[in-house]
Amino acid sequence: MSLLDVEGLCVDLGRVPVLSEVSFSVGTAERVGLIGESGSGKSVTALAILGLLPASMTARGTVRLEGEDLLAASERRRAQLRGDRVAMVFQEPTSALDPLMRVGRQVGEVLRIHRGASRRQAHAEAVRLLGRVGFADPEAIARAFPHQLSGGQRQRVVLASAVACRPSLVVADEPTTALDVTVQAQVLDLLRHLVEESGSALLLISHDLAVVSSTCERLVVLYGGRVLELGRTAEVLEDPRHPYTAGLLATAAAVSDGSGLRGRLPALAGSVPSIGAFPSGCVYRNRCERADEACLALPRLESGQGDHRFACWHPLETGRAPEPRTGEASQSVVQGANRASGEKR
Amino acid sequence: MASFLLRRLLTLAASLGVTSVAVFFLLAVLPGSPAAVILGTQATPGAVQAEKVKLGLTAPLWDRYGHWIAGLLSGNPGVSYISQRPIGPQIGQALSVTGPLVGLGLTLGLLGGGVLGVLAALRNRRVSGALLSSLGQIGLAVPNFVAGILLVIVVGVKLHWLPTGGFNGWSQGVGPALRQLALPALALGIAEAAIISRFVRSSVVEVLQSDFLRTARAKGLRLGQALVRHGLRNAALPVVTVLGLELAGLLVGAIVVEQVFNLPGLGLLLIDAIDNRDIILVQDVVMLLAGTVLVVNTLVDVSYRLLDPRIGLDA
Repeated sequence: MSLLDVEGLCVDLGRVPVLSEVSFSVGTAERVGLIGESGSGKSVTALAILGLLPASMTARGTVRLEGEDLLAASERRRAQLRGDRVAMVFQEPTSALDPLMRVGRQVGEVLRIHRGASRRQAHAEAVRLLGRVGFADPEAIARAFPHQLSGGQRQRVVLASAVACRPSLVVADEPTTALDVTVQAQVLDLLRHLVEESGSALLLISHDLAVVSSTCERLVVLYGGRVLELGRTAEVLEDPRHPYTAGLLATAAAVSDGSGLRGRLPALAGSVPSIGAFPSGCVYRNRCERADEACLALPRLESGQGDHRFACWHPLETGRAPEPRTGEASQSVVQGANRASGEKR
Repeated sequence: MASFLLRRLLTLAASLGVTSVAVFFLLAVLPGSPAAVILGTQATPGAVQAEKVKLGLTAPLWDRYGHWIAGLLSGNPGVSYISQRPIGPQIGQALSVTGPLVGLGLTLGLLGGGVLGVLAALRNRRVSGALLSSLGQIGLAVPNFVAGILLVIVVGVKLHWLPTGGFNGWSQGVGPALRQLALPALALGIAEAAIISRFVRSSVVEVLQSDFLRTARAKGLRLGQALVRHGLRNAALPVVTVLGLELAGLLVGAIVVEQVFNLPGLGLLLIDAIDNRDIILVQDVVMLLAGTVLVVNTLVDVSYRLLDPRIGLDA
């Protein structure tokens, strides 16, 4: 049994499907990346796991955390688990903090909710946590209001409150996207370090392949509210079977190795349809070069090597990248990923 | 902090000064004179002129203004032209009615508007929420004197639950006095609750969609708890600003409602004074009303900065 088991998760906005049959799992202390363009359903997946979907959306399927079905649980029970067993880091550190409350109290609040800590205990623990996320003067930070901190500092504060109860799972939704490029890497390193330290698993949601590949052991590629491909990071990056994954890799590689600077940047054809406007059958078929009549039917997730799975009628051949340049490029992303995780160890 | 307070106080003093000039000279150019009122319709122009001299109304305007202001600053609002009684006690008497009336009206408005607004926000985009909002609309559309008359007819005359008017003073005991103020306060409070509920609703709707409330829920707070611990304080900020402005409307409302319920408050005092061209009494009452609004708005301004750490006290 995995720590988190998402099975056949469907989320509807009224009658419009936002997520369809999303299934993946996260093992204990494992780091899994959820990747896709905006509009692919990444954030909705995160909110559905936490039970924080807006009232206009309804979820079906099962989301099991340590064996307990969160979708079937009462709101009371889910509130008990949130912040304690599963914590969330949101994209915008600026608006994620209460502007009228001192930072220390906001970090300590989780402990007051779940550990019954007194005001004083919560404050002491908050200061300790703020020290752990790298603040040189945690006492002063604890007394500060959010507007007195920079974006990177605020996200550190959010991270501190996320790991306060040593949750078994941290869900981070684009935790570095809103930050300066210079602090993105720091915050990402810190996040990885913190989940390692507290033995938490990480579900990292990002549109940025470099961010996810340098952090996560496994990848889930989401598009149009469906899982198109998933597997071990190295396998998916070295040997992408879904044309969409290959396309993502090509664009990411061109940016990261600078080859894109010399010519046109490769781009995925077309743009992500809006919710509810995805084609029937394979959701990617209207943007896919390989699409034909077969793609009018919905492809199931097929097993490749090991636990590498993909949903495509015309998968790329194993061991062969779609275009020579993309092949090299994806190699370089993988090497980058290995380098990054090597530095960490 | 100190420099901010000092600047606010200076601004307040300047505003009060300008207000006093406006009040005095606007009333001075109005036709009619207390002398004519005192002597009645049969008086000759000569007698009226002599009475004016006796009352000091022929002195240069600036002298009269200076005299009035000097009196106010030393705590002496002067003597009524008509009754020849000192104005201070009269205003004090009227305030003992109008003050509690406005206070009760504001309290009812805040409670009613707060509850209604939060409920409407929580039921946003649902039928029940729309009903609550339209209830607010109705409260907004009905003038307070109409609400007052309706209350008198239904609660007072038909149901005999509460007295329909008049006020026999606080010496009769707090209970009976509050019973006499209940309907007028309700008439004032309904319109106030309607206005406040609209601000509270939009403010709470915004807070409900805020990221920090979602963060609070992600920490394990349930929606209600998150709203109490994080939401309401944030939602209150814009409402506090409105309260300062609303007070002016509430005072005007009180003057009208006092007429409906025949209460011996500032409204009755002011209208009698205008009828009698008792200019100095009118000046004092209007100045009191304007001064109250200015002082309260200054307090709101200061408290706003205490509530919101983002607005520094130095700014």
